Formats: sequence, structure tokens, C-alpha cells
Amino acid sequence: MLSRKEILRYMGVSNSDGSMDALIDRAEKEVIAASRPKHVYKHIDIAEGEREGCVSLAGTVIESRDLSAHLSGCTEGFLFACTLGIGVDSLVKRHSFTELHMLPVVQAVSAAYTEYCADEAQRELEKYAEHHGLYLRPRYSPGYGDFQLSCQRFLFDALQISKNIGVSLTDSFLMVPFKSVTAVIGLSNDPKQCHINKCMTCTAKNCPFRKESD
Amino acid sequence: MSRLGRELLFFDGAMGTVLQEKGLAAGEAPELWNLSRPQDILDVHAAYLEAGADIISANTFGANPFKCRENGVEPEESIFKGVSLARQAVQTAGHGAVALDIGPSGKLLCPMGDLQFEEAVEAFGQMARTGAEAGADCVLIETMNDLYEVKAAVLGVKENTLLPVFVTTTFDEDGKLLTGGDIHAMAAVLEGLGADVIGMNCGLGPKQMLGLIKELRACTSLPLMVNPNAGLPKERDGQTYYDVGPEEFAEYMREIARAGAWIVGGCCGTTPEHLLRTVQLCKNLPCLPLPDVHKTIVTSGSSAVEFGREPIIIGERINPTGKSRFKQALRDNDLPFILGEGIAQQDAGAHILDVNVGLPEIDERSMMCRVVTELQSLSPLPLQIDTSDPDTMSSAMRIYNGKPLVNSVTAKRASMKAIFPLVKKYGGVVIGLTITEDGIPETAQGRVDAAKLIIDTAEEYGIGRQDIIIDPLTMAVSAGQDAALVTLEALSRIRRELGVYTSLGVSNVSFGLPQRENVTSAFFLMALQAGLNAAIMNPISPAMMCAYRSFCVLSGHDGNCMAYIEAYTQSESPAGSVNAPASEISLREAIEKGLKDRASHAAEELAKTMTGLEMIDHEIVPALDAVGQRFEAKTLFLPQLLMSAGAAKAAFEVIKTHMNGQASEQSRLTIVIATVKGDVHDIGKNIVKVLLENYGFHVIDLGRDVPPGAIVETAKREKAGLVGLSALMTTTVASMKDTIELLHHEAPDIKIMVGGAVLTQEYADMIGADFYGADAMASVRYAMQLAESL
Repeated sequence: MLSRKEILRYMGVSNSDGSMDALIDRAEKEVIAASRPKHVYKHIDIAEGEREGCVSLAGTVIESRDLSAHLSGCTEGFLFACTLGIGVDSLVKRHSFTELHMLPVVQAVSAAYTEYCADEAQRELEKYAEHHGLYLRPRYSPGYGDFQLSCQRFLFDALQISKNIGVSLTDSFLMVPFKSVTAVIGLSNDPKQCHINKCMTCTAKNCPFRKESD
Repeated sequence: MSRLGRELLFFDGAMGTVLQEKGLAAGEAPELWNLSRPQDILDVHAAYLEAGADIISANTFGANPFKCRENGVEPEESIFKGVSLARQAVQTAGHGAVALDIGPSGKLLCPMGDLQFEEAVEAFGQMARTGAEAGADCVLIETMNDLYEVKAAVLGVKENTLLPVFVTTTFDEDGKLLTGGDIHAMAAVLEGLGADVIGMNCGLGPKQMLGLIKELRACTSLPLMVNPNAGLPKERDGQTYYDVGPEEFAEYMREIARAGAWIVGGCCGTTPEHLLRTVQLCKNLPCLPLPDVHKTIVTSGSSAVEFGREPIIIGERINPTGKSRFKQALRDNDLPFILGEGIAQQDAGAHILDVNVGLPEIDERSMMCRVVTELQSLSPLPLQIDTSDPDTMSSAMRIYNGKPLVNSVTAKRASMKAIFPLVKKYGGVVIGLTITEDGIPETAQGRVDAAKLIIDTAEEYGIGRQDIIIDPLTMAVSAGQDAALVTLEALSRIRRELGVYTSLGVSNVSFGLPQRENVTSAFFLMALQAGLNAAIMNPISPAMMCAYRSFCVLSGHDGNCMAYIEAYTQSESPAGSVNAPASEISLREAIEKGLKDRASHAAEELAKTMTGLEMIDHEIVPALDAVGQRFEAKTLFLPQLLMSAGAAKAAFEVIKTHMNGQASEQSRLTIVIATVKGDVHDIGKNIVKVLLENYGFHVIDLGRDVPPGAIVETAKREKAGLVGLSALMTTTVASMKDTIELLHHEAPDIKIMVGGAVLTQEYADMIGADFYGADAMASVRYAMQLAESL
């Protein structure tokens, strides 16, 4: 179900000789058992901002050149959030006291599982897009490019994320449970731009997780 | 409140979704309208009162200090205005009562989140004080999804007002809160805290709640209230809507009232029309009498353990008595060791974990609170708070996330006077030891009398016998021939005559005898047969668990022998590894291969002929070096490196036990490490810490989200030579920079190394770090280099 290649990449394992398979198998079981995936989304109107480098999401103006570029040409879209739940935080904490070697494995597997759950949850949005002859842009999250992390507050209020899926924000806008995703997803009638990998718009050029293209 | 139980009462319906119809924008706080559009708020209240609401909730759901601060309004002003508007509406209508509405803070409590428990209590307390001043008749704490936060809210309200407290939580279709708490745990915690009415709201429609309310009705004696959404949220053309109409809603609410609810109302998507129909259909329904539920239940933040079914195992190993290694851990502040004992017992089958950290030379209260806080965040098992110091007991019960087991009270007046008020305030099940002013009665009759005194006195404090467990005390059989028989007779008489559950610390029985487990496990079986409900014991002991599991099979507690089969079929294959002499390997090899048990075994053997230092120099360090080199050459990866680290740690444990801890801290370099302020991601830091410790460095781990001042202060106080800082997010690298600046300013001689996903050499240089650790081994190498130059 989860991509082994992706998990190994998260773990920083370059040659997969199978020596990690048993650990990954175990981590997959543990992570899935500890997770209670939940998601929430909301349809919004998207408009170009009055000034350059701004975009309006459901009437709220967000200042971010990267986000407005990412959403260029979109007039509607979704606010989206999903989480694996607090059980994974407990699992990680437990391993940090007992079997430290499981930490990087659980970390990698839960990252892959988060992506998987977000993709699954997004199927409902795909149906909407298909029905209306539109295409979904990739998820774009606060913290990417110049889309400020403090914009989490807007997503949290608009989606009532704490109430709906039990994720909360720390004072520095980090999410707890830590395996949680928030994103803006644009809807576009042009399929082309929907295949651009989110990494291509990120300025961290030497990030080890950077995917050049798919 | 005087009408409660005499007739069905009606709460109002939704505020937020109704205001959205009136133009409230997505993400806009409804509380802001108390000041900007008061007439709209009054209109909503008036509509619900007209529809027949007996209690309306003020528009104060999100007016807590945290959210108000973000919205730039004064919480007091917002709350005062909100309650005043509701009061005004009630006055105009000529009927109704006003509830101060308190919703979740939107923040998660420590240690998982960054909100301190007392900060939460104070925030809710402030809301309650203002609400009471503005004339609220009662307080509704609603839409809660975390029992820990609920506890903070109830304490905040009860410590600041005398108003009745209604609490409703939000369950999903599995009957669980978003943080994992179940219905039984929720009911037990809230009953323990003294809530007046409990129930559920939001999240689900009336149909889904009907099943859950039946479950809740069966596990509490408190009155229930139910405020469902108008169905499950649905999406049409990108818009959220609720599709249970007023008539259908009312039909379901009638069923909910028939299932035992005394107060009904609505939440998201409901309208005055929903309430009107509900009132019309339900107003003449009788209130069902409250059931007599007297279950003995303790809980964690997520699950409940009920006494009186299969016998309960209370793991005894978090306790320094007679354990020099554990005492050492307490003196060293070695939390991982202590928590590890808890997890090991959980895995071995314990149902509850005893926590006793009393040692004369440490601050018991602060240690108890730290252990309880950390343990409850990583284990789903309820805890037994075990201390003889009432102050420690009080603090631990306060910050405990659930309804604890309390160990203990005696039949002495002073003890009961100190402990019972705490049980009454915070909730809990208390273990009563049959010790009187004259000591431990020698006869069974004496202990039954002592038990009776405890139960009767508890009643004077308003504590029912379901919240008392009696321990008739196990005495060493080597000191008195009929010691065990007296205990067993007292046990069965207390069970039979007083109707309370019992527990025993069974291990005492064999004190002073050789091969103690033989006698202990036999006594354990006899006690179980005599009706013992819970044993404080060592679940790591195979003999004790064998006795327990066999008893469960033979007494019909283990359906289809499943637990027994599971426990003993598995162990035939892999468990023998430690004692397999055929595959004896050296300590060095065991560490290189990452085999923890083998490493520990090999170290035990070596300890007979080698000193700790020799073992470290000739076996452990060369093995770690070999593994480190292979990691750097990328022929081996982080999990394997850490498995070797774990094996080395097991060897160090052996050295610590044998050498009384002398040989372990040999390096002159003290290292302070921390995840910087604002960042809560500490996986990388934890890994670096263990590797550094493996190489003999004295590491002080300050945890995560640590302010610059605390790091600098500790580094100076501990005369650290090196500070390691980690940050995961680009946004928190800024606070890394602040920390470095402060260090440079106040302690310019201390070296600084940094690491974390977003850091690069370039960035590290820019913020003034001395070293950038690209991976965990790199930090070790740097520390070694520094240590050599000392």
C-alpha cells in the first residue's frame, strides 16, 4: 500500500538491499494501528489579489507570491486538512524511550502514510473536479515558499480544524498531532499546471527530499 | 436547576451556523458579533426562547483568552457582553436561563502540545468568573474532544464559581473522542470531578447519538444532555450542509429522551424550527429515573479499567524500594529509565501502573508530576499514584489526565482527613489500607473493622464505596505462621460483608525466604481464589504471570483460553535467545550486530573478569567506532546505527548495575542539548542524545520548545563545553539564531553545534554556529574532537 521507495528515501537509505524490510513491516503495522485518520475540507472561491503577490481565499487576502503563482488562473478550490491523530505522537514518544532504532523507521512510515491518507481523502475532491470538468492543483501548504506558517491560523479558523479533526496549533504555528497536513488546493480548467511538482516552486534548492520532476 | 429531572428541559440550537446564514464569514469568530452586531445575537436568542428553549447558551463559545488575543479583543469584554445579551433576551421573553458557553481552547495540553495545565485552568477560570459576574445561571462546557482539557475546564469553573456545570463532549461514530477517549472514561472522569450534567454534542447527528447515549446511560448515574447536529455534515457543490430536517430531528430527539436524556437541544445545522418541533413532540415526556450505577472505574486519558471482572494487575516496578538502579535513576533525573519500566510492564500485561518515586534526597512532588505527565502521554494505562505525602498526592491528582487509582489512605484519622478531600475534589478510586491508630490489626476481625471505618468515613466526605478498594495487607509469612491466612480471611470477609473490591501487594508474603517467587505466586493464586480483585505485583515475572493467566483460564475469565494461548504459543520460538549458549558471541560483536539481549548477556559475563572501564575501552567503544564508520560509508543506515547504540546502552546498564554507576561518566565534556523555542519536533535531538551518551558524554537534555534563556542558564550552571541545538522548521531557525546570540553574549567560550532538517552549512555559518552536524554521527565526531582538545 505504501511506497517502499518513498519510505526508504525518507529514511535516507540509498541502497535498498532489503535489510530494512522487517523494520518497515513492523513500523507499518504499528503506525496504522496507532492512527485514526481524519480529514476536513471546504470549498472556497479564489480570486487574484488586488495587489501583485496576493491572493484572496474565500474573501481573506493572503500575501504570498508563491501561493498566488501556484493558484494563478484558479477561481475556486478547497481548503483541506488531514491528520493521523495523536496516537502516532505517542508511538514515536514511546519508541524514543524504548527502541530508538524504530524512530527513523516510524517517522518515515508515518510520513508516507500521511501522504497516502491525504491522497485518499482528496478523492472526494477529485470527484467534484471531474464532475465540473476541472483539475486539482497539487496541495500547497503554509510553510512552502513564502506562504507564511502563520497563515495556518486562517486555515484553522476557516475549517474549524481543532473541532473537526482534533488538530491544534502551538504558539509557533506548528501542528499537533505532528503527522497532520493543511493545504490549499486550487481548481483549474487547465490540466497542464496540475502536474508541476510542488518541489519545483520551493526555494530550498539543496533539500534532500527535492523531487526535480515526476 | 430546580426543574431538572422533574420535566424534560430544552437547550437552544446552533449559534454559529445560524450566524453564517446572517453573513458571518468563514473563519470569522462569532464572538466578535457580541460587540459589532448585538441585535443579530439577540434575535437568535429570542427565536430559540420563543421556540421553547429553557436554557440558552451565551455567544461565548470561543471567547477564551487565547482566541481573543488572536482576534484582538478583550476576553472579559466579549464574555460580559455575550452573557448580558443572553440575559437581556431572557428578560424580554420572560422565561429561560442563561448558560455561559465554554468551548475548547484550540490548544493541546503539555506535554504533547504547548499549553500548560495550570495556564488552561486559569484561562477557563477567568471565563467562568466573568460569566458569573455577568449573570450566567450555569456553565456549559461543550464540544470538548480531550479529557485532559475537560478536566482543566471543570476545575477552572468549580474553583472560581458555584454555578452548576454541564459538560458535553464530541464523539465520533466509533464512540471515541478525537484524542481517543472513550465513553466509559469520559463518564468516570466527569463523575469524579463532580460535573452536574454530562452528555454529548456536535460531531454526529441524532441518529448516531442515539446508540451512544444508551451506552453512556449504562455507565453513569448523572443526568444526561444531548445536543446533536442536524445530521452528519454533507457537501453539495462545495457547500457544507446538514440534511436532517426539523421533523425528523424531533422524532430522533424523542427516542433520545426515551433513552434517558433529561436535557435535549441542538448543535451545528439546527435552527429554531428544529427546536420548536422537538419541544412540541417531547415536552410531555417524563424524565426517566437515574440508574444506580456503582461501578469501580479508574481511567487514563483514553480508556477505562473496571474492577470486579477479571483480576487487575497493577505493575509495581516504578518504585525505588529495594532497587538501587531505580534509586540511581531518580537521583540522576533519568526519566527514560523510569518510563521504560512503565512501558515494559505495559507490554508484559499490566492493566494499571503504580507510580512511586519517593526518595528522601529528591523533590518527590516535582518528580512525581514529571513522571505522571510523561507517562500518561505515552501509555494508555491508568496510573496508580503512590505516595505517603499528601502534597505530592494533591499535585499529582490535579495534573493527572483521568480518574486515578490513589495509593493510599489508612484508617488513621489524619490520613483520611488528608486524602478524602482530594478524592472528592479530583475524583479517584482510593486504596484503603487496614492500618488503625494502633497499627496493623493482628486478626481478620480487626482488619474488617478498620475497612469498615474507612468506608464509613469516606461516606461522610461524599465518597461512595464504589470508589474505595480495601487492601487487608500482606504480611511476611516468615515472621508469623498464620500471617497469610489472616490476610486471606480478612480479604474474603471484606469482599463478602462490606461489598467493596480488594487489592493486595502480594510480594511481601515471601519476604525473608529463598526463591521468593515460589511462595509469592502460590499466595497470589490463593488470594485470587479468595476473591482478590487487584494485585500490586511484578508483571515482568514469568511465574507471576503464569499464575495469573492460569487462574483466568480456570476461573472462566479467559474466553476460549485466547489470552493464555497467545501468551504461551509465541514464547516458544524467539524468546530463548538470551540463554542460548550455543550461539555465544562477544560483546563487541553483539553491539556491532545491534543485538540488545546478547550484548547485555555478554556484558554480564565480562563483568566477572573485567572492570567497567576495560569493558568500555576494549569492547564497547571499538564496536561503536566500527559501526559509526560503516554508517559514514553508507554501508549501514540510521536504524542499524541506533540498534547498535541500543545494544551498547544495554551493556552500559550492566556496568551501571555492577559498578554502582561509577565508570559511566568519564568524559570531561558536558553537553547541553535542546530543541529550540517554538519547535516541538525532537526526534533528531533524541537520537543525537543517545549516541552522545553512548560515547560517554555527560548530556543534559532540556527537551523541546526551550527558550534561549533556559539553555544559556543551564549551560553556564553545568559548565557545559558544548551546546547542541536542533530545529526542524525554517521558522524556528530564527529562534536558534536568538539562542546563539545570547550564548555568544553571555557564555562566549561555549561551543555551539546545530542540526535539523532545514539547516545547511551555509545557514549554520550565517547564524554563528561553530559546527553544523549533517547527521547524528557527525555531532559525535565533533564532540569527541572537542573533548580531546580539553
